[in-house]
Formats: sequence, structure tokens, C-alpha cells
Amino acid sequence: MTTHVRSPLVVQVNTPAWEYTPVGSKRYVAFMRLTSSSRNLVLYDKATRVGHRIATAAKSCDWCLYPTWVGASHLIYTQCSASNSTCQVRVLTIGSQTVTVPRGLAPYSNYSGSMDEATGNVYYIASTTWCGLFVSLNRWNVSGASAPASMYDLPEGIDGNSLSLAPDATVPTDEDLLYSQYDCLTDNSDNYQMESVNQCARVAARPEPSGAGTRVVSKPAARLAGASPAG
Amino acid sequence: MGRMDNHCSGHRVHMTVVGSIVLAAFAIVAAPAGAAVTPTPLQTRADVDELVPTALSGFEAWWQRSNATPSHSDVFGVARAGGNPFKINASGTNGYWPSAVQGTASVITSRPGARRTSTTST
Repeated sequence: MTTHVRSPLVVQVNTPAWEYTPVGSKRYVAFMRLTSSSRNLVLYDKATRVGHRIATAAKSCDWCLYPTWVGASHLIYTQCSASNSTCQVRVLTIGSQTVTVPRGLAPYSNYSGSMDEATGNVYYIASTTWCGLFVSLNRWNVSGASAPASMYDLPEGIDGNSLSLAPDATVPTDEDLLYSQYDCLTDNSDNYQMESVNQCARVAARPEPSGAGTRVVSKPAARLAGASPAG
Repeated sequence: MGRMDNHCSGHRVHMTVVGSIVLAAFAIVAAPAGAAVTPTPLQTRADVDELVPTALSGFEAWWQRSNATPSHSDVFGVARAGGNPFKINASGTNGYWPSAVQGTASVITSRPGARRTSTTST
């Protein structure tokens, strides 16, 4: 970022197939690869120069599977249902097991996870398939020792697009949370930041709603339009 | 339904209504609840979609597309301390999905126009 030099990735990543939605760390690159028959989530290990297929989605669904974060020993990805449009955040401990971030039954959904590996805290967007209803930025520890907690509840009519963690610019040991939100009425997306989100007090999981609202817009379309190539 | 509470606010505000037939009093009680964290706007133009923000300690990157040219997308970067944004994808290309590469000073992006994934490095 300081020199503005662009470098292509290795041929094991950039094949003649269509690769998209990459995330990276010092050791790993995770990305989606579209083949003639399916969409595969690939984790490439720079140390061994080997890529492993982690998960697969139907070729017809360009938003059903995508990685959102990879670190030294964990990969986080979002996996969605084409039938009911709900998504789930999955956390892979590389070389070991995968756990799923808890959520309620459909229409509840969660997506766009990012992790603080030092603490095991996973931050993600909790939402529903109804645009701008019951949307929050949540935290859950991968140990599973406690229930998910809301860090910030977005106003009604505002939905979440994506979320990421970054070292705080002034206190490097703190984590800032960057996110983009989608205005369901004006059809506009903007970026925001919460500083030192790791210092947020843990609060109880919010109660689940008793009824459904009116569906405003197809959220996957709003969230991911143009995000990945069509099959 | 939407709620207005911010669980990361330094002072969570509780409004208690104390009423009677004659008088109604409103008491605002502030209680400490962790460190002060409130969302601050980064990129909020009404005529541009700004998406997928990601950051390193010194730089932020994001994906944007203008309402005027919705078929074109760019990835921009800017110093978090402030300054002029710069385009990360090469001229004549589209850029999508930036992601800070953990433990480095690089951002990885995809460039679907060329059917390749590419990176921007230090």
C-alpha cells in the first residue's frame, strides 16, 4: 500500500479458471474458483504451495459460498442456502475442524465473519432475510463458551453488507471494526468504523422477534450484486 | 424491529419516565458500559456505493461504484491518518473485493475483468 506496486499471485491461484473474492494472510490465500461444474472454496498454502478445496457450492449460485477472512490458523467463510437465502458463518481451524457460528432458524442469517485470533473472538453481521430488520454487528468466541453478543444494532431499514477487523491506528493492540451498511430504501451503501471494538462490554444476546415483517428487497442481491462473476 | 441502543457506547442512556397527573419528569441516567465506541463514517457519498472496507494499521481500502457508471467498479485506498484516496486497480480495469492481507502491508483484490485474482503489495 505504501509503494502502490501490484503483484499477481502464483499460477496455482491464478489459473485459467475464474478466481474471485480473495482473502489473504502471511501464509494463506483463500478464494473462490469457478469451474465448469461448480464453485469451489480453495485454501492455498504459500508454504507448501498446495491448494485444498474446503467447500463447494452449485455453479448456479454465485453468492452461496465465499471466504471472508483468513489468518495464521483459521479460515472464515460464509455459506448460504439458495433455497431460503439464509447464510451461516463457518470457522475452520486449518488442519482441524469447522464450527458454525450459532444463529436462529430461518429467516435468521449471519455472514461476513472476521476473527481476532489472539482471543478467538469472531465478529460478524447478524441479520434476517428481511432487509434492514434485526441487523446487528455481533461477537462470538470460537470456544463456544458463551452465546453470541451484539456489539451494535443497526437502525431499522439499514442492513449490513460486510465487516472486517483492522489494527487500531493509534492503539495497535486494539481492533477496529470496519463495516459497510446498505440503506434498504435509498439503495445506497456506505462505510463506517467502530474503534477499539475489542474493548466493548459484552452484553446478553438480544431476544428474537416474535413475528416477520414485510420483505423489502432481496438481500443477497442487494449485498452481493456485482460481487462475483455469473456462472 | 430496529433498536436504537448501542451496546458499545461509553455511556448507555436510559430514559425513565416519572409521571403523575400534575407533573411529568424525565430523568436521564448515564451508566458506564465499557469503552466509548460509536460508529464513525468513513465513506458515505450518496451518489456512490462504498463497500467492503478493509484496513491495515496505516491504510484503508474499499470497493466503490458510482451511480453514474454502475457497470464499473474500482478499489480505492487512503491513509487512515488522512489524505487523498488513490486507485488500487490499474487504469482500464475493474477492481472488486479488497481484503487486507493479515500480517502484511498489502491488500488483495480481485479483477474479474481479466478473470484473475491479483494483489497490491508494498
